Amino acid sequence: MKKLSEQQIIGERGVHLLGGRLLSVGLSFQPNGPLDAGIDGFLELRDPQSGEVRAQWITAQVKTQKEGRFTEETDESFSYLCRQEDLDYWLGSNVPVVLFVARLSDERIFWKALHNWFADADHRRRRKVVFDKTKDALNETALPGLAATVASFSAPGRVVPSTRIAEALNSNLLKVSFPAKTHVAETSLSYSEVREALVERYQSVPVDWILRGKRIYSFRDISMPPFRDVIEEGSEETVDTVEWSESDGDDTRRLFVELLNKTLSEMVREPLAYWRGGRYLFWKLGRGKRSRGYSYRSFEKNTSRDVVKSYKRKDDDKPSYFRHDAFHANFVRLAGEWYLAVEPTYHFTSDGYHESRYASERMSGIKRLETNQSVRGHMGMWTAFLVRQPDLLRDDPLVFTTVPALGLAFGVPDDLWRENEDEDEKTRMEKAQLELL
Amino acid sequence: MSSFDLSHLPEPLLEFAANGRHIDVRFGLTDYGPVDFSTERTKEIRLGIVGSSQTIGKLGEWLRRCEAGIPAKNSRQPNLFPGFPGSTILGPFRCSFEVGSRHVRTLSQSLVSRIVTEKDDDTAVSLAVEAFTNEVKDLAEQDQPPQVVICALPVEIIERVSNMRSQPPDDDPEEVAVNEIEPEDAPAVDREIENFRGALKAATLALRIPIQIVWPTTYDNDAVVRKKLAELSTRKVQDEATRAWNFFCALYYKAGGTPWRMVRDQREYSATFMGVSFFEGLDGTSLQTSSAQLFDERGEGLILKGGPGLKDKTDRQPYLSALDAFSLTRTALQSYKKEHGNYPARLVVHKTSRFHPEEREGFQKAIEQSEIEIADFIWMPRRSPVRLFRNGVYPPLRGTAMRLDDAQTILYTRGSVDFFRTYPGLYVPNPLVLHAQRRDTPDWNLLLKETLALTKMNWNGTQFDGALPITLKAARQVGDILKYVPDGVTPDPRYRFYM
Repeated sequence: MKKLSEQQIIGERGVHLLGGRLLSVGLSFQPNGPLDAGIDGFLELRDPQSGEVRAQWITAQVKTQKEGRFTEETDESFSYLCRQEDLDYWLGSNVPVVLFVARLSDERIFWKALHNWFADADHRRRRKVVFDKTKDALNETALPGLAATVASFSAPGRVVPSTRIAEALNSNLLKVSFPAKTHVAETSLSYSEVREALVERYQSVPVDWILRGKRIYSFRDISMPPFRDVIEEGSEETVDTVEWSESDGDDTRRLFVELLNKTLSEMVREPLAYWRGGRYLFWKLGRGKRSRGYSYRSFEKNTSRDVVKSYKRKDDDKPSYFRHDAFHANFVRLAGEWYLAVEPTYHFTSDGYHESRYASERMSGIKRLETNQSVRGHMGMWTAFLVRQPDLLRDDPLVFTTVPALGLAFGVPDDLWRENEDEDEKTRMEKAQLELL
Repeated sequence: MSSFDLSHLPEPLLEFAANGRHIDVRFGLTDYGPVDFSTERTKEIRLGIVGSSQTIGKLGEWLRRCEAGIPAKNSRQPNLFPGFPGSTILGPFRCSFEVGSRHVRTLSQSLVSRIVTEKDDDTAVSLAVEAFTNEVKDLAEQDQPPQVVICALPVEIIERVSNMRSQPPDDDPEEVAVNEIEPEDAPAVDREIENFRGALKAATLALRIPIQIVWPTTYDNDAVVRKKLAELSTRKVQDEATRAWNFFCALYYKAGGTPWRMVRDQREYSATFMGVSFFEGLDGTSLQTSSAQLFDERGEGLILKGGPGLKDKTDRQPYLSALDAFSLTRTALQSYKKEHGNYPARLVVHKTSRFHPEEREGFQKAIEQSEIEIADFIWMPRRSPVRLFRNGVYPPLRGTAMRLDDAQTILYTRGSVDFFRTYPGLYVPNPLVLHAQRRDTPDWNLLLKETLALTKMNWNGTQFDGALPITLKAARQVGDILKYVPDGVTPDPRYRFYM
């Protein structure tokens, strides 16, 4: 009597499960015929968008289990022990071999590129493959890894299908809304005369106004103090802000941007100061303080950041310089709307205010250290700071709102790439994480 | 609420010999050879060398070593650091690089010491320029002159004519830094060595032989150039194979070869790309002169010196009078016609400053006179206010674009590169902004695609992810040399003399 064993059926079901899974993520899969000596099939890399294929193959060996625990299975991992003769066979292959381990009961499949794993002499000696149940799961996110398997196996220079991982990218834009009316009044004074007159009468002079010709413009009501005393009585009126904001004249546009900048400076004058030399706003350091923290809700979580940080010399307790978080405010008009493009930067001081003598060296140092993630974190802080919660006690002339993250079908497999970096680069990435987040 | 769309452009392909195509310069050259390769003639590039007895000796050893190839750096990023397959007929350039004994000129030790001990900086620079120029001139006057002359600077001379803060690789001082760092954190530019380089290139222009300046750090692993000021840079010397790649690629192009070209769709109009820029004159005043850098898809570059720049009162950006803009463009297009036999169907003008209304008028008139109907005027400001951030250590992919509105798009030309599996740069990259001030090309995608491809048309480097399109990248190199060309002298228009 001819028989087919239970294990043969299970094995075949595993191959079908794998084939279905690979086809569902847009790869092709050809199961092997009856002459299988330890390779169950071939999968071909394919660009899921264009459908392009370049004869880039991976051979697949499937080990299928019906149910129950894998060897040494925990919540995170399990292992698989290879027979020496299988190992010799696989490692002698002229194309990469991937070991897939499938379990029918929960339909989970895990994968490992064997030539990568066994490049380690210790792994080879023990013949054991340890699977990470998260990283090694076979799903859509495994595609870049499979492509990398081919790229690293064949001669350098192979162009494999590009990485498609859906990602959301944040921009540095905040949408700006401003009052519909701008206050205007005549004055006979020059800019410095206005300032002087204001300083004389009031200690703290607001900066949210501009002078053009003989007229003062501001979003605030300038018929009230302190401006009441510097304008021609009875000349105050309001104009529609759109006349400026939608003007096509470069000159008018520039003045409007100046008014936005001044208004922003006024709104943040308590915690921030403006550094004329670098044209940026930076966090002030409290008198006698050595650092300043700021707690906020960032992209994903509540966090805090040293927005002013002191650095000490070796063998000395006194701070030698301070690093202040800062940003350049760029008001830009895009598709008929106004946005604030925030450009994070740093201010280096010797005393909490004045620029340090070595500011440019410190700046190059920090720019070399920064990664995309550090700047994103910095940006997250400024977003949280500028996008204020509504407050009845405060009437902000400028209101900033976030622009939703934008989706892109192409991404970067960070973990996969990071493994290949040389030690210096890995160190830099870790240091940036510690220093700047 | 407007919505901004993100898109991603695939890495443009480059064309090599026999229609071979690859996205990468080095693998494309290795697999197919240079685009102008033909089996009908076995090619040999004749090199000349001018240097001290020591630099000539060491460079000679290295040139011989390169014949057999330089192994790849030990790295887990083999696509970023491929080995150099060799400088013989079997190598990526499919030709041999030969130094004839008659083409080697040694600067005497006494001459070198005279330059080194000269107290006055300017005199030292001009003495050094004169010393090299005399030898290049002698070589140029031979019956069979070399095609490129390598000027192998001795360490002592580099130290004398420079006040180094950072160490530039080869002929291209701090290329990366200049493109990537913002002005406030750019390292102090080394004026002296720039002066020497610019003056030497300008002085040898008339001799009609391109020169390649090389530092000992390129060919001698033990060479150290002492720096007068403390150096904070973490910048490392490139690996030896990469140095060989860049060196031979520049030599090949300078000798008249075309290593690769852009792949153009047959259905598209034949286009040429013109960069317009301004540079400051020698006298250090803010007087600006314009220049045009014209590139076609084959990689032929034409350089023209134009009229003086004017400064806009309100935004202080330099611009050309209508008449100067007209004659610069007209001359550029006529030179193009001389090369190609006809005018291009389409002209794309790149500029780092805004197109001033007067200037536009001049450009348009020249374009109309040349019967060009399709033109795109793209302003690419020095920095983009808008940026993008991924949630990860690597920056957005090169090729990521975000349309801001009808007139503006940002494009990441530096960024993470799929093929290299890393971000091959220092500093968080800044995208380019393309601000179209006249756009006859309806499809933004085509403009982005070409701009990305133009970043790969840099024969000074073999890593393909250049930050700036060649039209703008050439601008700085050209200005540094043209400022030494006296008024009234028409400089050689071929780009290979300026890179």
